[in-house]
Amino acid sequence: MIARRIFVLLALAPVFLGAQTIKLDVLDKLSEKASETVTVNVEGKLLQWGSKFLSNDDPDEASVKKIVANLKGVYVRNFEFDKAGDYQPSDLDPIRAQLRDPKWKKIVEVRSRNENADVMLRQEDEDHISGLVVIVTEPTELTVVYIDGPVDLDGLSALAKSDQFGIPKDLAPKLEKEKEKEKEKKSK
Amino acid sequence: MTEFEDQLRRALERKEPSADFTARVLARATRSRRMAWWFGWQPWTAAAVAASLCLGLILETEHRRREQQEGLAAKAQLMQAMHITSAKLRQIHKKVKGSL
Repeated sequence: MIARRIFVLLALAPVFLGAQTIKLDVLDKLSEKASETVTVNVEGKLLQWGSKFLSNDDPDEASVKKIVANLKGVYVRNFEFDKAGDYQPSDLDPIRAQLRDPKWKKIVEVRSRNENADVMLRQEDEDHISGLVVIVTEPTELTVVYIDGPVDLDGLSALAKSDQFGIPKDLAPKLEKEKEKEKEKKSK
Repeated sequence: MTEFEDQLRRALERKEPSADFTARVLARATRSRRMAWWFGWQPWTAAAVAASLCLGLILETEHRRREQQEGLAAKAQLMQAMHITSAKLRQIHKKVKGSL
C-alpha cells in the first residue's frame, strides 16, 4: 500500500514541481485547413544532438547554438491560411488554459485590428526563466512558439534585432544596399 | 640357459592387453575424428568471423549515417524554429516600438 502511494507521488511529482510542458499538439488539427504548416518538435537528446551540428564559424548558427545550449525543447506551430476566418481565436483556448499557471507571466501584449501578439515567460524565481511562449495571430496566419528551458533572452533579442538572421550571406549585402537606396529615395 | 636368455624370453613373451585397452583405443580414435572435423571447419569459422566483422562494420556505419541524418534534420528544425521565433519577436518589437 505504501509502495503504491510512493509510486503515485513519484508519478505526479513533475506536476507538483511545475515541470509540465506546454502541449502544442492541440493545434495540429488546424493543419487540415492551413495552406502551409510548419511544425517543429525538437527536444531532449535530439535537441542536444542537433546543436552539435551547428557550426561555430557561421554567426547565425553560432548564436542559435548558444541559445539552445541548455534548453529542454523547442516547439513551433506556424499555420498560413488562404483566407481570414479559417481558424478561430478559440482554437488557442487549450494553449491559453495551459498558460494559466501563476508561474507564467505575460510580458508583452499587442492588440491591433489585424494582429495580436503575446509574449509570456515562465519564471521559477526572480533570476530564473524556464520557458518562453510567443503567440502571434494574424488574419491568415497563426504562430505559436514554445521554448522550454532556461531562455537566453539576450541571445533571443539579438536574433530578433538582427535583420539578417536566416538570410543567405550572399543576399545580405544586396538587401542592405536596397534598404539604403530606399532610405535615400524617402529622404529626397 | 643363461640369465640373459631368460630375460630375453620374458621380454618377448606374449602379454594380454589390459581390460580397458579397447575402450582407450576407441576413445582416442573418436578424439582424432573430432580434431579432424575442427580442422576441416577452420576456414568456415574464419569466414564466419570475417563476415560477422563486416556485418558489424556495415551496421555501425549505417548507425552513424542515420545519427548524422537525424542530427542534421534536428539542426535544420532548430534553425527554422529560431528563424520563425526571431521573425515574430522582431514583428512584435516593431509594433511595440511603433506604439511608443
